[in-house]
Amino acid sequence: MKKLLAIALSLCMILSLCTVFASAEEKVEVNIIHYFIEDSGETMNDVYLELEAKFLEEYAVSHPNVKFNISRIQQAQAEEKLQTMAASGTLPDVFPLKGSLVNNYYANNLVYDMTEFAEASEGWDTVKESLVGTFTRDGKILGIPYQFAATSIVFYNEEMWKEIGYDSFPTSWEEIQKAADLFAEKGITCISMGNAKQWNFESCWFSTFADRFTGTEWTQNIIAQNGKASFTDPEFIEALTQFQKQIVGTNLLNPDFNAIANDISDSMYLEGEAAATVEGYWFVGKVQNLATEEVYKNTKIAMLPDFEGQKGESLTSSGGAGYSLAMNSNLTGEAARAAADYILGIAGKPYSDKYYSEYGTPGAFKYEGELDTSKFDQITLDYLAFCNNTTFVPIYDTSMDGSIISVMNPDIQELTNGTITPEKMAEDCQKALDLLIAG
Amino acid sequence: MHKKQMYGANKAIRLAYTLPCILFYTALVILPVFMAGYYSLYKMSGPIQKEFIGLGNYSELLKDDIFWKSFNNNLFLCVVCFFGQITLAFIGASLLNKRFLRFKALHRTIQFFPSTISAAVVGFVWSLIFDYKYGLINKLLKYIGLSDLVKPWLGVSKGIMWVVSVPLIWQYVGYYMIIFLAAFSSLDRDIFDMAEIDGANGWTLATKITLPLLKKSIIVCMMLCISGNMKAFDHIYSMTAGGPGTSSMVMAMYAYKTAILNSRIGYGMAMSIGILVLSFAIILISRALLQRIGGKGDY
Repeated sequence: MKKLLAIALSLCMILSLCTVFASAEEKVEVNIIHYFIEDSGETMNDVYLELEAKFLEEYAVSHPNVKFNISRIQQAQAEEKLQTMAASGTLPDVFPLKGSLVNNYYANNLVYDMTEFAEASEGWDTVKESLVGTFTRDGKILGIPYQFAATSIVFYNEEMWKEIGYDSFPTSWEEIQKAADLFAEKGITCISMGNAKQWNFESCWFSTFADRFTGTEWTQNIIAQNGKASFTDPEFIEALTQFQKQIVGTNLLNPDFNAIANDISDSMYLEGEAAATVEGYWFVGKVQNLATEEVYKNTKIAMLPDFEGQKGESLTSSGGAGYSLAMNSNLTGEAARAAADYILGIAGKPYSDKYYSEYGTPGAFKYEGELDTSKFDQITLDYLAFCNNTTFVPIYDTSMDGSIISVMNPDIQELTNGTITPEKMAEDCQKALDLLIAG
Repeated sequence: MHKKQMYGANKAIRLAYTLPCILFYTALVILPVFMAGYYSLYKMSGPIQKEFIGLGNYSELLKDDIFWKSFNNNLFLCVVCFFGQITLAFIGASLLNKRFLRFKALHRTIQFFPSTISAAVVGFVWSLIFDYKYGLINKLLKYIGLSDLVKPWLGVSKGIMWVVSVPLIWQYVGYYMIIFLAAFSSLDRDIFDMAEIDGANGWTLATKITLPLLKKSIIVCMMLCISGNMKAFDHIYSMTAGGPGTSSMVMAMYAYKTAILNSRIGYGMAMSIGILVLSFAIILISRALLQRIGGKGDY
């Protein structure tokens, strides 16, 4: 009896394998990972998800045999997972691609050449050249940019600054430090910061801060790896020295700035525990959706001040290409078509236009037509004005090669802790650059 | 008669039962070591870009400051955890062996329970305890009037390795305690009774009788401790990710960051071979040392 039962069960297991080989029709599956998560309270995600839902509904009708398997994962968690997948050549069909990784992915033939699909898509002629240029190699478009990322914006609580005697955010570093001391007496954090993930200082502060000392030509030379600029140049060391001076032993930031992530430091500002924070364009949506009524009412936008005698242009701010959506190079036929349709039908012009026209946030494509600003709140108008009146300079971690950033980011943590000298940090960065140039 | 039964006709059946395990182990443990050795001879940034450079990665490894700093951190963990985990485990096991202790099963369970939790979860929970604003440690310090000692425990480079050792020790004391308890149970109770009658106190019992008898178990625990701490990753990753900067970097994490995040796969593989060689060397050295201290014996 037992033997019969055992045989019957084994047969069932073997037969269940047969379903693998049975397929009624040509089904196309596209596996997607992206960072636009649900219920985040962030406008950038909500806008995308709205477009995605509409696209999926319409596409299911026109292409009933195509199935999109979408994993929406928070960027902080997904980025390392994607890197691991890239190293083993098992990337999904559609995935986010950062500017600093394009060289590596292209050299390893991991990315699909989307040029044909892109140029044939509606509104492609309105794409911002510099943004798509970041994701182009040898004339091949490897990713569709989905953001114009302004990463270095000071958000400050006007009311809290008025209480210590400042009508607006100070325009000199001396004044900021004075204000920081006054805030410290009241037990308030002057500027909240969360650099535990190591990218925040470099992306939101240092790309701007250093450019004021080095000028943009220096940065472009570093990005081009042409040997005309080096991290050991006196201007860069001066930038590092001043950066360290402003942070180590001062009351500028919360004491645990290297131990907490930016979502916690964001909450500090949004809940009124800090008088200011330095974040990117994504923070506008956070202020609108997650801040207290008080903070939302009083939030204004400013810039990191200039330094006297600085070599770089005045009041520049880091901004430009951030992420794009790319396709796996092993896609063919209908799967490739479907993946391209997904990317260009959501993340390309539609996302850019919707985010700009409805929320006043410039994207990767130029908006054709008049922008109706009548329904925008103050912070949106302020952000628009900021974008229109600012000269943007490269963001280090989306334009410099990843191997330089992987040395720079941890060193900034040590620099701001006072455990490394500016000269040593410059040396480390230069070593990484030399390795790259040597090939 | 019995021997013949064991080693005779049933050889094929024995092989059949152990073969899946052997294959599994070979595929998942032995083979990757050889593959790592192979790829470590290449300059590789991804699955396609590959260039043979012989021992180039190893000569770079010898000059890599961060790798040797990580090695020091691993050694630090080995030493601290040896005295933290094994000593505490020994004391715990000795106490559990005492007649006067009530609720032995409960103590055993509570002590062993942490070692069943995922290391990443332990790291995360402890990072909440160490939190500057809301963590237990700082709240306690403020409560007892020691506000001067309050600091962002995971954000300060100096002393960070002591801080990250705490969850490591906390989690695995119970694990080693169980090993010692098993060893204790193999000891003849009469020896302790006789020693107590002769007037030996707790300290003399522990140092002159228990320790020498448990030499083998201590060696086993020491080897487990060293091999575990030479590949420490999960706790550090979830608490500091090697930061601030590279002050709490350990070898396994540096190899991971180099291979995956910096796309230097060949160099990362060379690092893992380096970790294997160094761990092996450390274990051999410590066995030889313990042999000297503990006198000759079968280890």
